[in-house]
Amino acid sequence: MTHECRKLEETFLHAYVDGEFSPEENAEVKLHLDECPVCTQAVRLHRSYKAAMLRANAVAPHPFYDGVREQIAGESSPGRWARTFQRPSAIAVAAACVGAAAWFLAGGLSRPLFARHSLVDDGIAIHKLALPLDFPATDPRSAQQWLESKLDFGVRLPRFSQGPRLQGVRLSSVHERRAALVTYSLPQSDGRRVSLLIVDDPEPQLAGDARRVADREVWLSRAKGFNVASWRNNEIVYSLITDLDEKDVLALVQSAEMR
Amino acid sequence: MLDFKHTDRTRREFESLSLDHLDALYSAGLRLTKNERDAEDLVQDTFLRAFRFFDKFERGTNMKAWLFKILTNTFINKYRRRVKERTVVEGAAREAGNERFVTREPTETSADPEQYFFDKLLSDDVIRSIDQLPIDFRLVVILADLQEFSYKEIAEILDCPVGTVMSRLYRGRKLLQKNLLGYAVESGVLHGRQAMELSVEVEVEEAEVLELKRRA
Repeated sequence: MTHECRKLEETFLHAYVDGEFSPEENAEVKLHLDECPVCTQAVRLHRSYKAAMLRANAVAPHPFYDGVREQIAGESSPGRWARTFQRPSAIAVAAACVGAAAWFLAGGLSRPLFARHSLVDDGIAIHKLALPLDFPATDPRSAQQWLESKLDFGVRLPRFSQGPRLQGVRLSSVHERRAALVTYSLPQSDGRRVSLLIVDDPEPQLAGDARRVADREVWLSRAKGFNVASWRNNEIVYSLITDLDEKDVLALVQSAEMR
Repeated sequence: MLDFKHTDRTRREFESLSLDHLDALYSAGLRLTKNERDAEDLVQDTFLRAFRFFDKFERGTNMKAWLFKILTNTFINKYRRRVKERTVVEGAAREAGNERFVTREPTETSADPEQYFFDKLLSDDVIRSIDQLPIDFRLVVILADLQEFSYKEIAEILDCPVGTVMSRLYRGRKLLQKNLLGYAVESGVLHGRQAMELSVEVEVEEAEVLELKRRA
């Protein structure tokens, strides 16, 4: 039997049964249904079709439900970490982190968060190695241009009004993230080296004691005979690493212009 | 950097929002892949992806629709090719079934053949009929009739205009009902002549179906 009513199309009636209309529109359709056996039949047929379809729905087997839960539990956290930890090399790094964390916890909880300090520790380790420069430069502008072509994040080399002299830059990595190590020498301190580690670190908390220097929040921490001063500029973390004492480090930070 | 408390809380939130939809996703996955093993893989993939991208989910919006968008995308990208090979074989078997229906002798007629038609149907026949649909029709029919999504939600899930959803749904349903008639006769729910009378109603534009089958 074809749909012979000239007033309402069959698709229109389907949409009505599918619940696509407003209460007012539904009332209008009902008025028509009261006087049209063709449309009434079409509506009834469509309702019984839909009921038959719903009966065909399957239910997931119970062990599968548990399997999905276990799999989610096996994932670390959504987003960046979950993707990182799929790589075998990252699993090794993670295992090392867990081991180090266990050691740290055994040594007491004088520091609030192990992971934060590893950025400081890594920075110091890289600074101490004094590896050769990838791009020797004394002009901050050319060093910045070179870095911009190598890094996947925006970087801004600070200008020091006096003191540190730029030696050059080296590409590095911290926790599998690309980083830049900028090396300076201090003429007034027998050419002592100062490193600036620049890393795109999305973690909200920086390590150390908070200070306010030249309108910037600066975090100071000390480890292995080095002072590290960190600040954030456009989501990028800048860490100055030296063996100068705290007062001189803060003076350096004060003279750094992030333009 | 690894904040385990945060991870735990996020996971609990994800589970509380998503696991209620597991049956629905599995049921849809079963009709998309047509077998339990692939359905389980597909749904598991869907949950993993959803969990990984949970930070992209806007809290307070439709979680079920969001999960189904991931399910359909995952299916289209990953499983469609795998399942297609089997469909070719099943399609050939189905043609034979149709022939049997056409040549069968009508035995009895009833005054109102369609009145109880869908009520009497076996779920197995409904399932077989869904499985016969070309994928573009099958997707909208699953979303509308098994999962009861609105036209607008389906348009968002499949990333296409509402008009396309409506036309595919109409044609998909007609085609499915045509398949159902054939199976109903085979399983004895309906007699030949009743089916013939009903079949006029479920006419489908064959050319269009063939075109879609070619593209699938």
